[in-house]
Amino acid sequence: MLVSGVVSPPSIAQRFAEGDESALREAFDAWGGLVLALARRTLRSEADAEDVVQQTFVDAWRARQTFDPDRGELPGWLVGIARRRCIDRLRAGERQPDPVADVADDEPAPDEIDAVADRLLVATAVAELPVAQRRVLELAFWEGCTHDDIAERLGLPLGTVKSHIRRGLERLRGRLDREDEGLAGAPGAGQPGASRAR
Amino acid sequence: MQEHLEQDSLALRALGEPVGAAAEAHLEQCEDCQAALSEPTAVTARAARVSAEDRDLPPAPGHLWAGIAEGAGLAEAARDDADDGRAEDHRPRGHAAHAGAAAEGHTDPQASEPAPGASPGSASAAASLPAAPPTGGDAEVVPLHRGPRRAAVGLIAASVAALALVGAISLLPVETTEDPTARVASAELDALDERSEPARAVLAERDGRLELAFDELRLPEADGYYELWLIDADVEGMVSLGPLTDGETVALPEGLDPAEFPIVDVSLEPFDGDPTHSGDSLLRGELAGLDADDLPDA
Repeated sequence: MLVSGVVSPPSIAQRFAEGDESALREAFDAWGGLVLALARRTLRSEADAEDVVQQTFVDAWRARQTFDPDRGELPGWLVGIARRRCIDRLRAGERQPDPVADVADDEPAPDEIDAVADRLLVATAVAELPVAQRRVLELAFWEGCTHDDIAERLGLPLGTVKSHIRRGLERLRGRLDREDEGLAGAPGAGQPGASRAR
Repeated sequence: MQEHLEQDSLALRALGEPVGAAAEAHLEQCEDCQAALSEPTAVTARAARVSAEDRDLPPAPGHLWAGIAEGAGLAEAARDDADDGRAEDHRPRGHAAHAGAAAEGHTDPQASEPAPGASPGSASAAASLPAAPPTGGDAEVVPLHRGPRRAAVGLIAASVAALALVGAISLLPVETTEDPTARVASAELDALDERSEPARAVLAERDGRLELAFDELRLPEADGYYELWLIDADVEGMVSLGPLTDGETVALPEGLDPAEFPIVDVSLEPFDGDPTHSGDSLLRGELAGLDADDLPDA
């Protein structure tokens, strides 16, 4: 039996803000992959991407007192820090162009970083929904299922599926608002496309 | 004249499902409904841009941890975590913190949900599984009758299988607190047909004993009586907790581990002298940690 849900994001965020060192490790376990994915898709070199992951979590820990778990979500805040770090790296690369490789050409511009960050945060937020809502919304979003299809596939009554869809969307909206708050509130966050969904 | 669209319809419309010509005509000229639609639509539009690659993120390699621990200036004890594996090591702390939050009445919606790095592929894998009948469908629960009731248990098994697809159970170790009752886990109970409305079961500890209480449980009058069951995740066994009425709190027998029987089921039983499950369930849900839904129910 798969046992998941043992690491609770809210309590990680709260303990992180309070300076509980174990929360840094838990945040790394939970969202290191998220930060790495953003860095990998932004920077060409795997070594640079891994550097950004390390810098992001170190930056986050040092700035933890500026993180407000009541306003923003920790994954969004981490992504905001990583985004800044990635852009700094891209700019440093532009100032010192690689004589061999044409680095700037195939690396994304900051607005593309924001688009990637948004997609990764949405995927993360869906993955952390209560299990029934998550399953229903995954089928609706990404498997092209109508609520009829979902009801049939999961053996649930139509009304239940509709209710999961509505409540899941409401919850997801609240969660994404807080991810956006977290991202916009990250140290050094410039003008990310954090409010695009409002 | 078509009335305002209901919340459920707005949600479906935001997902691109048709809601009917009358509703569309109303939507066209109703600014309130347009505004109400824009909120879920903003969410579905963001979700539509997410690719399969975005949803399947490998965890960051563990070797990055040492540099983070050093850069952050963690105490030696915290750094050592790097050497002894990954997320598994943190279960006890995650559990304890979670149970603590629960005892304080903390009801964040995301509580107990799996972190994305913890099981990156599980969500999509589970979603793509068909609701296949389980292999243990002919499980013998109470071997008094082998006749029609076998079929009933098979039916239960098939529908429970859909429910148990993902099986993200997060029962928490009970922490001793000042509060006489400490919430341990809860289950959203789906109404399996028109006879009932969704309800919620809350598993809590009181004076060292586990008990199940119900929110919004409204059992209709019926020919027979309602019975409460806990069913195991493999649907190979179930335990009866006896007849159930609205507003009742049911104590679990001492020694019964709800982690082994995480599915809460309410059935309608005829007065036929047969102690096995009738196969006629009204409500069912899985104890899945503390994910109390604190959103306004529009």
